[in-house]
Amino acid sequence: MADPLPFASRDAALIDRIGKGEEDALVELYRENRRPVEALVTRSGGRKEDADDVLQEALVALWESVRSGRFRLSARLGTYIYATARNIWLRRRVRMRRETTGEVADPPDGEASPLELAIGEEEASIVREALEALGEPCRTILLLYYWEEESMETIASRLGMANADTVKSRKYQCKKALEARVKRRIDRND
Amino acid sequence: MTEEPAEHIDEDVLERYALGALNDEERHAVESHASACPRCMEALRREALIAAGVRLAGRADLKASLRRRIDAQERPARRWRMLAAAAVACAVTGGTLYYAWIGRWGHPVTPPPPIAQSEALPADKVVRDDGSSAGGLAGSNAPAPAAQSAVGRTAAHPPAHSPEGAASTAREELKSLETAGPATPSRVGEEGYWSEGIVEETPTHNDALQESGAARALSAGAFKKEAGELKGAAAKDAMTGERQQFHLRQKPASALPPVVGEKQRLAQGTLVPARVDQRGTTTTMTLYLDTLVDETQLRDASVRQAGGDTVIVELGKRKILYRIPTAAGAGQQGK
Repeated sequence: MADPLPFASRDAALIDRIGKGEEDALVELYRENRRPVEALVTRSGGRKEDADDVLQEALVALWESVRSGRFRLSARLGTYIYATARNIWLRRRVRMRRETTGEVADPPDGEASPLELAIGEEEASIVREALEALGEPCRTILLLYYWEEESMETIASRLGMANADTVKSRKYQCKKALEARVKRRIDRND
Repeated sequence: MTEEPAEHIDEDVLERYALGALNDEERHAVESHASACPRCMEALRREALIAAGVRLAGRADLKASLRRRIDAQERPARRWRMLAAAAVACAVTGGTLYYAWIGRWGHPVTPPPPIAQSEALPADKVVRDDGSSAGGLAGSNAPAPAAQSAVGRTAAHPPAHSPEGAASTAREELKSLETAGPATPSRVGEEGYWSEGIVEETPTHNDALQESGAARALSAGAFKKEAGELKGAAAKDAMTGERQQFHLRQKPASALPPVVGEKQRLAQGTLVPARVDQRGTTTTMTLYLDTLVDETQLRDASVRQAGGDTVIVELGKRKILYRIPTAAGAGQQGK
């Protein structure tokens, strides 16, 4: 039986590579999607640098989605990337307009949970700064767990730690240290 | 007042909630419990905040890594495109000057002999077709310095084109050129003038469009001669509004830059000085050709790799061996 989606096999191969953590797959997708995203952004008053940033964010979102196992390939990959980039660009434009005019309306975000929406970018940035200050190996352990969403066994293997229990214990300590730093920073800001 | 539940959500469950790893039923159970348990709600929020912040760092890391990979892949391609554009720009300048020369002297000039086959002659032996001494063009009356006349076309030296061995590989060419002897001081070309082709490129992430913009500017013949100098053209891309500047001009010998960088050697033995200036994010590559090229050569101009960082620019039967300077070296050469 003929493949109903002739582009699907190549897209699936790219998704497979992303799933394996091959960043070069993102570079390929960047090259393929650069022009349409540039046209989209520059047509609505953005600069090429904006387009570049928006496309990279869309690719990072794709990476995150694939690596977490939530991604389902239901359309051409280019279409997905374009749609994601368009959403990112629209949100960015709304935010810029809000900053300029003082509007308060939030753009809709279909992916974020209510809890995630309740967390402001500023707070997330405080956590990020605290994470940088935390140093190694805590930074890597927490990144592997929360960002790469790796299992304790895999983290133990990648970092050369004894076993999953060792990682779990160390991760707990790191998280508590991070929470303490974040609390101090937030209290200081208040 | 509602009473807080005696049991609280396990930390593992909170983490899995923040990671989005719970199924719908589990998620609803967590949210339902947290809505009636302030302590759990606070723990849930704290967990989500940690996850959001760490993901933010992860995204930033990935974006930076992606940027590095893109830059690493684009840098060599950008250099090649710049070099190709510089070669074409040189050819355009030469072609224009060639026809300007016809208009001035009534008949076309013949290409100069290669250095390897010509003798260095004193300045008074360098003559024009009309028998006068070598002098200025384009409004300059300064005589050509004696040391710069060796490449000059002389009445006693007819044009010479050595046919290139078809079977010789680029690497063999490279080797033979490299062993041809040390580079001699820079010399001026035809009647003390050089064709200078400069392409300035400000690297962005849209080189393909820049390139097409450059090609359009060249094909549109956007260069014009003003007061003996070929002024540059600005190619504007209709889609992006991006500009790329070209500066093509004929320079008298006296106007050659005081510091000329790495010398390049034509396959026939002629030396071609080249210079690379790096100012901020803009790289300027300049080749100084000692002779004039016509439009046929312009059409056939090409660039190909001869191994490593060395390329051969072909202008008709002439070949320029060009070594792409490193970024650090380029900065020094421009000083």
